[in-house]
Amino acid sequence: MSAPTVTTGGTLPPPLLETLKRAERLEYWNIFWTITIVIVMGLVLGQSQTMKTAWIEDTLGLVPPIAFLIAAKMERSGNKSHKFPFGFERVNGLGFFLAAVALAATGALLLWDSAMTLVKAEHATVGTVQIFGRDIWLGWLMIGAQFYAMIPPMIIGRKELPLAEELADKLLHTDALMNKANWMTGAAGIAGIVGLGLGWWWADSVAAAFISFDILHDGLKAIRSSTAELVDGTPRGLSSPAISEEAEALQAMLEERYPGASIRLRETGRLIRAEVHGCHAPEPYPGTADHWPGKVERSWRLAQISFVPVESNRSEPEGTR
Amino acid sequence: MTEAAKIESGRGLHGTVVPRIAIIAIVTLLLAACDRFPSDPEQSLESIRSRGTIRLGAPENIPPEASALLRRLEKETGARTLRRSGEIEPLLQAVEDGDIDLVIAPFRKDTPSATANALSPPIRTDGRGDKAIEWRAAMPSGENRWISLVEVNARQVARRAK
Repeated sequence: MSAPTVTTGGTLPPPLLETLKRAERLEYWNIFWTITIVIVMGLVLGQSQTMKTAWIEDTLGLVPPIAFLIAAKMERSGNKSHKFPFGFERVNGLGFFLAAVALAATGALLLWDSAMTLVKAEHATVGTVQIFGRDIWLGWLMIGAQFYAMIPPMIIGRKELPLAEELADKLLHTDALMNKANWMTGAAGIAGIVGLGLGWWWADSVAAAFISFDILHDGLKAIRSSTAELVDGTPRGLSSPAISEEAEALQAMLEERYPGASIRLRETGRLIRAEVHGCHAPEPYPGTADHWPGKVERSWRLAQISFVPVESNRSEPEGTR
Repeated sequence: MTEAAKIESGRGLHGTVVPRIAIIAIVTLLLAACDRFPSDPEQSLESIRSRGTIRLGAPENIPPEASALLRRLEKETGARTLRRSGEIEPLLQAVEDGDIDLVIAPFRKDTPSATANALSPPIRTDGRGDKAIEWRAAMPSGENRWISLVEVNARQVARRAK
């Protein structure tokens, strides 16, 4: 007997499509400002380990918005086909995973690099440059560049957060938090250069290690969350690998409605799909949205409920409840 | 409370209170330390001034631009030059080890990174293209106040020589 499926089709409601377009516009601005930061920082890199690490982090900051834009475009315009019958709603999850791996790997490499510089007690040379006929210590320009690099991400990150919540978009949310956290990178970077200016040779490497650790931490957190989605784990929260509040509430609601049934939830991109094992769909069927425990305007998240009755000649595998 | 609301209220990890404090602390530190920037971790410039000598390593024959640079540095530091001649490689190693303060030597234009020391801008260039020979000063890496002083004077020497 085949599993009867009741579905809303998994497409986003029109107001949310508008939010998605707003998020895309914001990400284009994000890319523009990040490129200006990468150029400004690149011009004053010098031999500073802190500057090198901060510059790489800024460059890496391009990965999430690019991944988001590709995923959003595919999600919106990628047609379902014989080869891809479910469309491309999980591209977002794949993008999230790739961005997370890139972050973690780079963070680990930079942390190693900073630690080695510290162990070898390498003293970074930051000399002078001539601008408009005046000799200026390069450290001042580095501090200025770090200040500049703090401003756009702070503003963009703040604007991204509510959009990420509305869209239940982990990739956008990770980008928003990374952007908001960039003030830490900027502050650590400035502290490193100031320390170097004061003659504390180790300050540069210590600041670089601090920034690298932050990159690694972001990456590892994102890997845990994105992997959960790719292996059909229960939907996780936007900013933590813990099960999301919406998923917990949905699970409780389905368990109450279908006592004795085994409930399995998974996430495909921003959508939740539920399987109710051990019972038939009720007659008449009240509609998928009727099963959503939260606000009606968020009911789009529940894209599908499948009912899987027990087959009389086949026992349910162990550990499925 | 949603994640965004937690962060907006300043109670989240990256709230608004901590960055403000960090920025105020950094600006205060910058203002307080302005005239000390940059300092030498091993006090190279301070040692030169207190010792009254610039320990120089250089080949037997140096161009007039090198002499001009030394005169300027003597004037800036109030110290006199104590010269040691010899092969360039051991002299560069002596700078790296902190045994001498400065080496003025010819470097191939395409291999300026052959030393772990900090190099000044060229004070004199002989020849053209990648094979050109540039006379530069080499200072201990990371001694940024001393390096900055030599760099600024090297630029002025080079400008006058043109």
